[in-house]
Amino acid sequence: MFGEDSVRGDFYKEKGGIPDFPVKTKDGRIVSSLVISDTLRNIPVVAVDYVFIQEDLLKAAKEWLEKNREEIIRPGKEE
Amino acid sequence: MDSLKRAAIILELVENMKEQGSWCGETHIQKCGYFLQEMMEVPMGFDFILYKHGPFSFDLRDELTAMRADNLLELHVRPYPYGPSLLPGAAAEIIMKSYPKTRAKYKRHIDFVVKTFALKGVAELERLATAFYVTREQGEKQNVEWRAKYIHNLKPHVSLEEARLAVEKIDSLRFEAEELLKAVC
Repeated sequence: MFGEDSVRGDFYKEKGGIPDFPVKTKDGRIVSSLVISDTLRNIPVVAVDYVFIQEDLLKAAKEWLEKNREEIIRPGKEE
Repeated sequence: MDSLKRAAIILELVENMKEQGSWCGETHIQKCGYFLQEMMEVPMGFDFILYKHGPFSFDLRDELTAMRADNLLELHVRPYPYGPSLLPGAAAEIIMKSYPKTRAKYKRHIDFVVKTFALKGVAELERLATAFYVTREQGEKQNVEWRAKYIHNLKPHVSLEEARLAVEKIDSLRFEAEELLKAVC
């Protein structure tokens, strides 16, 4: 609608697994890193999803987005 | 297969594993995912290699992380000695409801995998999954003894007797799976 040359996407989702590894505690027990670390347990997964558009098309794109937002994010119908 | 359909299958698998009492650690999901794709021929498109503890897919690991980012899966930490669990998250229901046909199409495949593997310990899963991997890679016509020795050489911590039992079990499960697949088709 706005032309391929006017729009750019930047999508990224973190790869890799859960930061779960064995930790030896001071009293000699071996426990999961996730059990003893609130920080590791609560690290959010990085997910970035941006769409950029040529500046002179920004107003029209915003209007289009307002009109079509629900349609864009609605899950597709199963074939 | 598109990524949302694939997510619906993974969620169905995890939900079923949870219902059966599996604690749904990543290792269990990896091994059940492996059997679901390779033994039950559900075309999820993951690439499995023989890794430290048997067949493993880095693609599937990335997919599970992406599903956490989308709130399709949630991390639950359990007390020692259990590792963390991955359970359906807040957004899972939307995907589950959106793909009833896909879930129904593969329901019997998932049931078979969950019933057969979901409650096994990780060591037994490693042996069985490795036995299946070796059977497929090295030729199904190799006899039990040959495959057991091959597994023992690859993984010396698996005794020859354990490897032999795993190969025999896998041969019997392959037969059951083939019968089920014929019935489903």
